[in-house]
Amino acid sequence: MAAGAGAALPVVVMAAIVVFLVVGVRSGPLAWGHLLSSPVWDPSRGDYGATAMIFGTAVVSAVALLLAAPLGWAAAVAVVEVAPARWRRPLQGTAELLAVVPSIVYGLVGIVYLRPFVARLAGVPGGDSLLAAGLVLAVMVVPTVVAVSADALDAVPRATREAAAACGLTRTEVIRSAVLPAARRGMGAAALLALARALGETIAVFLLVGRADGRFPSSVGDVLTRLERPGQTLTTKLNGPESVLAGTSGAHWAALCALGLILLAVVVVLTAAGQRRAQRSGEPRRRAPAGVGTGRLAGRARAGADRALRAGLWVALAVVVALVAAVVVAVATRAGAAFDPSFWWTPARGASGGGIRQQLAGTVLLVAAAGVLAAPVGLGLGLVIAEYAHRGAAQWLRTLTLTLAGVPSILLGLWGYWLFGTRLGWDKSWLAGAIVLAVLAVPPAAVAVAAAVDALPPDRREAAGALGLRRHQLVRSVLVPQAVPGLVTGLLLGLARAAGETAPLLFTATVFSGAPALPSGVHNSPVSSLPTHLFNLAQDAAEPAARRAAWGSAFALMAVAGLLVLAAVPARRSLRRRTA
Amino acid sequence: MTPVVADGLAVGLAGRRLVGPVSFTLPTGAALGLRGPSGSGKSTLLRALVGLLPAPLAATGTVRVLGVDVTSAPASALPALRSRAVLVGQAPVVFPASILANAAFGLRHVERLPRPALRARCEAALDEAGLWDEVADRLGAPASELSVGQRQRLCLARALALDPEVLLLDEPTSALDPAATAAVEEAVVRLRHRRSVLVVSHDRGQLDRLCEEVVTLPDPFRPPAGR
Repeated sequence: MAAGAGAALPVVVMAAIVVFLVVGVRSGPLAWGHLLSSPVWDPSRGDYGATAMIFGTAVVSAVALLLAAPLGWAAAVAVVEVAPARWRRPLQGTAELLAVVPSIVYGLVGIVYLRPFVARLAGVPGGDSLLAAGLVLAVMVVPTVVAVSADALDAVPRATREAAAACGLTRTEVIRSAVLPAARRGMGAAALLALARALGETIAVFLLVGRADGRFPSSVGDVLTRLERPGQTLTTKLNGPESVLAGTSGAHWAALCALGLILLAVVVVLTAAGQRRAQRSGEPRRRAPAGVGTGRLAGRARAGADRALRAGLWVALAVVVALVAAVVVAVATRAGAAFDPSFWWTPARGASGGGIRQQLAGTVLLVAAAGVLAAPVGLGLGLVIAEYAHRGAAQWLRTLTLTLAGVPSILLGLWGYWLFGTRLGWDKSWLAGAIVLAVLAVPPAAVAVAAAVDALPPDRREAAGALGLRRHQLVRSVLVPQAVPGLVTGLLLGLARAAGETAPLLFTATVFSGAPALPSGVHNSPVSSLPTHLFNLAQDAAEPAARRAAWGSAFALMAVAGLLVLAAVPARRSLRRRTA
Repeated sequence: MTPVVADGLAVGLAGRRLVGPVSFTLPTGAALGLRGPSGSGKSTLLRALVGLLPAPLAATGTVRVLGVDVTSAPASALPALRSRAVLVGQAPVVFPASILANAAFGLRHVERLPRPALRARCEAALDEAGLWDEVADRLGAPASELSVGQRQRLCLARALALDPEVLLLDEPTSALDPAATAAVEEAVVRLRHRRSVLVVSHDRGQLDRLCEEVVTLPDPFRPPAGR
């Protein structure tokens, strides 16, 4: 039952989002040709051109990827190939922890530290710019690059390294000639997944990009000057007030849905390509023959090159660790408010400060409800992927699940707003928010369940089969017990990410102020939440009281996400024991 | 100079001895066999000779390979040693590249050679490893197309291309059928007159065919006699 419902979820949700956007596009007159060729976006004159936003999205993502990919690759090589083995797990754990730092926190750090830096660098007042947004995105996606690349490097067999070293190659020659060619696919996938994340990121970009419409370079040389000016991206347009003001039909709404469709198409293609690439990362590619080049250096020069390259890898690792430390220290040193106990249970006062009582209660409610909804679905989906579905179908289901995980959360938010808020007439509702967050938490839970079941030693399955167990008995008494630690681990990590999501909640579940700590029904029953509260405070960051409350809320939000990650540790340990 | 001298060589983990101790000498141009039951640590000892032990394991005793004291030499000196005393591992690892590029894999890093000279060295090595006749017409084909027996000889050719003074062979025929085993053994017999060869195997008959002298490792699970 749960298995069937679980298997249906990625198919149903993906289809529902596409249908929602297509229905939206068809609800009004839309000139695709004009949309894709004009930079002018002026709803008051009915002029809808998207190239300025497509340009903004491309520039911001390119800046992020050009910085994050080389840095992340080098840091991953340093972690797996050069650093002592006992550093591995702590470093990889840190990368994981960093991946759940909410994007709204990065946005806040960006506003306070990055904006003034860019303002000085470029001589632009304020510092809101495509460059600032790209820089903060780079920091956000580095952990993704490191984590996925490290997995790919880990999968290269030790015998490969040994065979290369046995021919007299230095450490970095082994890495370059033997390890990187074998891990190339997976590392490429890491960059694709990071790019997909950068394209879909909303909140941090929203706070830093300046949201200026119609900015499009007049010449190729103009691209660089545009970097330090404000701009607009697809996601920031969708996250803006226009999505609510446009109604849910007509030309304006149709144009917004078209932006969503473009965004979805690009992200889905990148994510699916990245996942399929990562899954096949072990296979060597057929390469053009030859490949015989003459040696570059000999003797002492080789040893010197080895030392220099290794030093470079250490520097990359140090930079990544320093970035992590900077974000954590920036929040911890300014979160004095959070160390005052009354901050946690005092009600908030409008947009300027106070405590976080309703926000904390709302976030706990949303996360708990999302967990209750996501647990059975994630378990069922994971079991179907690992055990039930025909192999080819399981592959597709897995890819679809991972693609769903890559869908920009702003699109889920708009979909929730359209479906629950307007079609079902719930208006703002905590349940709609919980459902959207559950959709975000299901994919990681399902993937972890599938991995746990895949890791089951075959003899145990055989032993159960030899006792005459039927399929459903096998599932219930062998697979489910095996899957539960995986479910708990994946679900908690998924919820940790969901807890920090801002964009979907803005449209479905929260109001700026005046919501009770706990709702009394489903219809028109909004709550407050930490990320959306922080989103409001961050936009008032010039005011001292708001700033103080913002840092305190950022700390509280990171504490919630961190607690969820830490809670996953015992489950993970139990999983490791069981499959050992 | 004697190519390999091991005196009381043992491998341990955190001070606990796992393999050895064992003492042996490999003279110039000789072939020496190292024999022992499964799990006695033959492959581990061979790795210790060129400083390729995986992280927590450590070697004790004295080992001099081509005049280098392996247990005390700095890590930066080991790549140069490994290109003169080449270990051919048990698993026939080929890299995702052409047959020729695999044969040149080590050489092109270690020596600066013009392209034709590099190619000539690789072709000679493929010949010495007894693989030339089977691959001469498809040097540009991916090495992954070769059979397991051919791969094992390609690994041998990769080592021979470096023109090493010492060859360390770890179970050179473990995964092969009788015909492929014969081909590899022939190759080893041919090359041992020009180089010093240390062969590790569990197969007594093979060692008798290939080597003048055979050293037996102590069984780690049985205490030495007389105690």
